[in-house]
Amino acid sequence: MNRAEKVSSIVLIAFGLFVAFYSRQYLKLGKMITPGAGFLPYWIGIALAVLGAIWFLNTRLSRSGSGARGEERVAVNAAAEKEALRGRILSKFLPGVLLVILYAWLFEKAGYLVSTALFMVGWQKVVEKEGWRKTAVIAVLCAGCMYTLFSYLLKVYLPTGTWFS
Amino acid sequence: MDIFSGLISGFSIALTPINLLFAFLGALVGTAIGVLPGLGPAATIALLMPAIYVIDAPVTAIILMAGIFYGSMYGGSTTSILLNLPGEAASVVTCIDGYQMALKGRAGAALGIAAIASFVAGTIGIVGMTLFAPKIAGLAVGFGPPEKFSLAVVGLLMAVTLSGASVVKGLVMLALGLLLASVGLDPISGKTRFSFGVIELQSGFDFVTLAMGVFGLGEIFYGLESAIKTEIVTTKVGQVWPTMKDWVASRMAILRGTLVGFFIGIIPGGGAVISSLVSYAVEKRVSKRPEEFGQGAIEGVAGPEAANNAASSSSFIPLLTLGIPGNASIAMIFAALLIKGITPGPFLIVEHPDVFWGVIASMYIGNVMLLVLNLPLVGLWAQLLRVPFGIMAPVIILFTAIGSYSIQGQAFDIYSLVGFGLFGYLLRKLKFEPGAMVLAFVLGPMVEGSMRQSLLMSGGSFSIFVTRPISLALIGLFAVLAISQSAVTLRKRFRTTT
Repeated sequence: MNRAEKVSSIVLIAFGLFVAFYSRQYLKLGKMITPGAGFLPYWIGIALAVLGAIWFLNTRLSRSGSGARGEERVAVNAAAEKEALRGRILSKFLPGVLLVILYAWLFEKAGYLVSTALFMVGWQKVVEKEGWRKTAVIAVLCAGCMYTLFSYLLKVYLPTGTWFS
Repeated sequence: MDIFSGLISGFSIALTPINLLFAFLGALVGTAIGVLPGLGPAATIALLMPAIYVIDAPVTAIILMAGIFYGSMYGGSTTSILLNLPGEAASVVTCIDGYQMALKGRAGAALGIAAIASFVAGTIGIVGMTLFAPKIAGLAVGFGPPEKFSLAVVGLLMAVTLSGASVVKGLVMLALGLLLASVGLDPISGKTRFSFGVIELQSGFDFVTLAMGVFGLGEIFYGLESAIKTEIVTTKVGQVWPTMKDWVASRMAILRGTLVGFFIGIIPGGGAVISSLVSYAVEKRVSKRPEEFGQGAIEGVAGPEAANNAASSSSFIPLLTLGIPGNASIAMIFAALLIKGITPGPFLIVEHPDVFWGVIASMYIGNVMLLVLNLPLVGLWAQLLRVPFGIMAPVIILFTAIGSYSIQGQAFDIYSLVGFGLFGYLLRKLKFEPGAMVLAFVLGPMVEGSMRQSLLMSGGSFSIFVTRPISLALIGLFAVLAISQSAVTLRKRFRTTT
């Protein structure tokens, strides 16, 4: 996590500087009496860069301050946990996120019913590794219940799919 | 309109069949979703926010949101007691003794006293709000742009410094919230900011999409990679009505918790988390049997539950009277009011007395409904905890995706939702509290608008914020609180190092 925090703080510094540069260059700061569209974002960018630098220093200081005693045992546990985490990320997190992105892409193109049924099937098979029978029951029930709730009860327009129109 | 006649008119609005129905639905659905592990009040409100778009009357929409808020607070305590898994930070303290009581076969007593303490504290809190809110609104009527700016900034800074989390990370969240709020058309110059040619971004990010992404989807993404296995202690909760011994042990804890929660809840950033922690500390200190705390002491459940519910009620005071939401959940109710064309603040009571008094009256009714729902149905809520993550997660994803699409009918909002979900996941991983970001996002337009107006008034000088007495007093108040907070932190660090 220490490394992730360090990288994130550097990204934050770069992002803050970009925001400040963009605000000054393209949005314009204006005058003190009539601040321009870039005035507040410029100072937010500067603040983000400064806070990122403080975060980076804090992360470095907290690491150098930790003692060496017991670090080996902690390292063994940490390595095992890291391996387990990597497994969960590969088997659940990444497929899950990809399915959600795919669902967003399919939603208007394939329409609500097809995209939702496909998403539920994908989730149960890929993320949860369920059998076909359970997957089919959950997919049909969820897609149907959601359709009833949004389309009939809440009167929300749900796309029928540009591919089929 | 005086308080009494205001309240009478409020009850005449809240007691209409449609408002009663929505108060009941809010309480019911809020409890049902709040019970689900990992979903706290902020996530619950975010998930259900699209519902307000299908309701025409603003007062009905806000009554529904308030019901959801209260319901999710109740639901959170069930998860804490039966699963030892707090839905949000305010319920952490309830876990300590509540879960121990459940392990000893007293889950019913813990859930019962939590519901009763919440009801008593919530009701006293609403009475306090009824009495104080109109007076505070009266004082705030004279606020100009400099006062509004100072109030919003001080409110945001207090939310960061009092949250108990890292101040640097809190400030990062605050800055990011303000930055996200600035995306889209600048209302003064007409220039488009940070849209990079994307047409959908010209109107800025939608609050509901942001909240659902960060709180709802982010939580699901985090759950996918976490190894936490939730194990329910029991689904047979047994007798929920407290025994005479339980009642004697809890009654003063409930009253103390109510007082602590009410006053802390008024302060932006104070809210339910600090009040429950303070209440627990107070109960342990005044108890004749402090060694029982952590082993299943009923006062350890009653006090903090009363405190966090009293704080929930009183946190509506700064929202309805000053237009300043004190925490992420209240920020969502703030956004809901804005969506329905109502600006919360000192003029709310004059311009929309129906909303102001209707919401207050509906809180009395909602609180009774929650008690009626919670005591007999507590066994049913416990069963909901058995819904497996494999079904709950995709259903919540569908809910958020369709909910965000329904707002403007464009797929771009689903992409934004996924982006905010991934961002929320990163925030969880890096131990950031997104509450400050959500607060800053809703207050962003007010902060920027009042700052620019103030600078115009002062001829471009920032001294206007310290030369106007109310603005100076607000900044001074924050300085005193920040210094005392720093002193406490430094003293703690000094003690741990020596």
